[in-house]
Amino acid sequence: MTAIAGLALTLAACGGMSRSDRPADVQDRTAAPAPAPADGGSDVQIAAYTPPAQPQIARPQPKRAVTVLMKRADEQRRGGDLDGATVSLERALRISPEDAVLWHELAEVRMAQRQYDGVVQLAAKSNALASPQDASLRGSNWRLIAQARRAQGDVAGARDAERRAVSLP
Amino acid sequence: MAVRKKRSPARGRKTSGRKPRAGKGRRRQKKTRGWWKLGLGLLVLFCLLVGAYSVYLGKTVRVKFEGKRWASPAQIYARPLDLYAGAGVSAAQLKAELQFLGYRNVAKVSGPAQWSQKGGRFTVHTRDFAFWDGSEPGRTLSVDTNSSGVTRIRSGKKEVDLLRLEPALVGSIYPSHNEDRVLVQRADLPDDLVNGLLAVEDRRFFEHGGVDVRGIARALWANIQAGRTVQGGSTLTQQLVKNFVLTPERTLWRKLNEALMALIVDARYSKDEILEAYANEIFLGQEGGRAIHGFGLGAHFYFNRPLRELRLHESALLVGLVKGASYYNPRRHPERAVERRNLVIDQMQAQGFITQAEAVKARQQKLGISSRGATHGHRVPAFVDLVRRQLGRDYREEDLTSEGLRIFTTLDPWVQQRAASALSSRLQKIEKGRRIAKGSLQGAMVVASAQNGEVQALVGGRDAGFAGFNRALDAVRPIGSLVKPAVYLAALSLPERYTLSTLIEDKAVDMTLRGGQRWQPRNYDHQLHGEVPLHEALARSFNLATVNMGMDVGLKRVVSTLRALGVKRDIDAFPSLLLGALSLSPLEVAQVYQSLAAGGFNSPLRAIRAVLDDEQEQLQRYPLTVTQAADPAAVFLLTRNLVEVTESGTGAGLRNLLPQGLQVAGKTGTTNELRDSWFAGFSADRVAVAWVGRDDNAPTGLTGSQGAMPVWADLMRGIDNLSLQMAPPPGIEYHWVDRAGRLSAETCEGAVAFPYIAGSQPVERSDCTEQQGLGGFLEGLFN
Repeated sequence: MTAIAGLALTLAACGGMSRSDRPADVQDRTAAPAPAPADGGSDVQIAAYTPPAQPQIARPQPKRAVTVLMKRADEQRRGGDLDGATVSLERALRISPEDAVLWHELAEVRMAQRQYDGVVQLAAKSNALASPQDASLRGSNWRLIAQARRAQGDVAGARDAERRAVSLP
Repeated sequence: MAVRKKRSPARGRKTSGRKPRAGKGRRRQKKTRGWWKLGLGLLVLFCLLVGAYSVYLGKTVRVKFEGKRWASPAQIYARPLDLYAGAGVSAAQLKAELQFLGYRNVAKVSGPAQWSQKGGRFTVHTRDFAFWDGSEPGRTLSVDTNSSGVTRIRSGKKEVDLLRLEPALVGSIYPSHNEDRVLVQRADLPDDLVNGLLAVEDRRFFEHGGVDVRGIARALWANIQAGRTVQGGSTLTQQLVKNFVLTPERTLWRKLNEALMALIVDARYSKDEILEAYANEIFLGQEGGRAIHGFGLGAHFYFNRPLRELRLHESALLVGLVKGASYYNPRRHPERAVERRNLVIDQMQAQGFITQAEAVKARQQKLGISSRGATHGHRVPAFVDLVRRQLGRDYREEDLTSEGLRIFTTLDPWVQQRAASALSSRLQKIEKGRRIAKGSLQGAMVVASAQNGEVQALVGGRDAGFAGFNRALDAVRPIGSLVKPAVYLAALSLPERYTLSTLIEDKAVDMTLRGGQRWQPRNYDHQLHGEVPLHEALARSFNLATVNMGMDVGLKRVVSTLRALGVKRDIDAFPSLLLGALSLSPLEVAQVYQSLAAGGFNSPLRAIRAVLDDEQEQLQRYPLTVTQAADPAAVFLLTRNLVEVTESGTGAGLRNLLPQGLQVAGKTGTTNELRDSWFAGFSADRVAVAWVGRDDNAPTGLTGSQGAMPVWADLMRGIDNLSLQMAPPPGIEYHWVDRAGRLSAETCEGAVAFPYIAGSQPVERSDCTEQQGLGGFLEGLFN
């Protein structure tokens, strides 16, 4: 120990979203509306399968949360923050993954980013989820696809998409 | 190298240590003068050597202090939990999420990171958190839940439409020398912690110059009195130096070096800098191969919360661990730990850092250690492994382990927990129920979001906390009948040739393969079923019908379908491919089924959302991408067929295992001699794959529906799922057909409404028409 003290001396010497009381919309988490009735003939041993039973408990639809994010995305897009808009829409899609409008909005952002492959894919995705009755949304998607194809130099593809946009039922 | 270098000045010191002998007479005087000269020379030399050595040490110190002092491991975060009215987050899940975050359950919420619960209503005071896309302020919220999820959120009187809880820290990527830490700054150190350190380790820290001579003397005296070492005289500075440069040998030489460096450190750096360095360097525990360094990680490791939230008794325990983290290990030796902690509290009181009342209260507290590595304890090694591999494409290893990156992942800790427990408890049950040797079964699971391909959970084995063989990524096994949906999709993508009601032949197959081998596959039930509708062949997983149809469709088409669905591996286009002679990992299977679950849109499975550097700058984002892999209409037909599998086909057992009304689609898979048991399937928002088998690849005696399917069901039952809505995409029409696949009236016996790609519906009409209806059928019977 003294050695340490000595060494020390030597060293020294060296220098050294917020409102709304609207009634919440209610969604059915587990209902199956589709026409999927019994099948199987008399000679097969498969139980005919019936549409599943109705759900137990309902809870509000996440509409408001999605609306908040869509509004935010819209503001971001208008403010030129395209990445921000993408993030907001992706978040909305986690909440409501089968929302055809959200997929369309994302396609719009890709268009603004000039990512044309993405536009075509996302608009197609939106179309696959869109209600067959929603001609307006499907028309918008086809127009986006046309625009993207044209930008990529695919004139024939663009024309085809434009035709589809106007010939929707 | 460093050790050898250190030797040279030692020689110098030894030389200078020779004492000149006394001389006699002139010659002696001359000699004496000579000796003096020599002595002086040696002293100068010694000073020079020490000086040079000090410069060398100083450099070492500087490198440690100012360079990449501590590799700051990348920190891995789970996904943040979005909360909103309508979120499928049950009270049980919310409770678990708050525990993942280390929030305290209290009677009355009075500050950040606290929560209370009354029935379905939670009161939560959140922490602030800076996300990569903005920050979320800490605030008090009231969250109402019922058994289906969140119904309402308010902040005071205001409705809150959307918020997110901070993400849980679930792991880190530390370097190969296994030092893990969470870097903290001086300002993060709680007063109690600093005071505790001063009280027990170094009272005169703020007064001495790196080495405390008085402290050494006091320790020496105490040790002499006791006849053994009872006190150490090392300052915090010396301890720091000891930790970060020197070898653990206990020699005088090392002590000297340590002191010398302590003096240099003290001269060059402020006390606060030294304290900060100490707080990050100190060793506080061991978990397997991972060494816990620094109070920042220590707080997470032992209490699962950030350092600044520690209370007096918790800080005192961390201080106590400095003396011997394994001897006082609070998980293994809680009594020793309590004793040591209380000694720290006593010392703090004795030296006036805390009042008697505070000390009494602190001593009464339980240790309060979180269950072993609650969230930061690398209980998700399989997922971290995946993150690492995905990051490995974009980052160098040393950047991951040292640059303090923050990695925001897609991990859903709740789903992860449910998946891990579904696998381990179901395998136990199966082994017990079927008298299979205990512990012989293994398994893996992958859960991803259906529409965007985010990996939510990854289980690499039945002991999910064990970082061993990662079966979810590395168990590449034949997928058996899991391949069939791709075969049927290839067929259904040719609507002019195949529809759900098309009859296909389940007849014997006898082929000579390339190389002259004969191939005679059989059905699982060893029967031939004759002409069967396509949907039934898939629902009941008939091998022969599948091979006949697949050969007609063409192996090339099947291969390209698999490719489009996301298989990257080489695929051999042999007929046996049609029955699953293709080996994939559970993760790769999940990719294929993700494409199906998303209606024919492939999204590469992602484990990472964004990477931030240590200054919160976003380095990289991994955006959502989709690529159309198949015609959505054909995928819709297939999905309708895969729902049938779970309702009345090989997966009908799910009916009893899933909540009533939850419609899912899926497929069982079994390989030769029952070696692999698979189940892959999806709800509207999640896709999951389960594999059960043995590491030695021996038969398990389990089919897909006996092994993997119940594991899959246990998982899906335990988490929130959106039921498949089966809304048809554009271009789908429903038509009523009879069993022979002819158009018939709705009222006809056995008539079923099938979806068709428009124009592909059968043209042939059954004898039973709308008008005849049931009557016509009866007529037919009596004819």
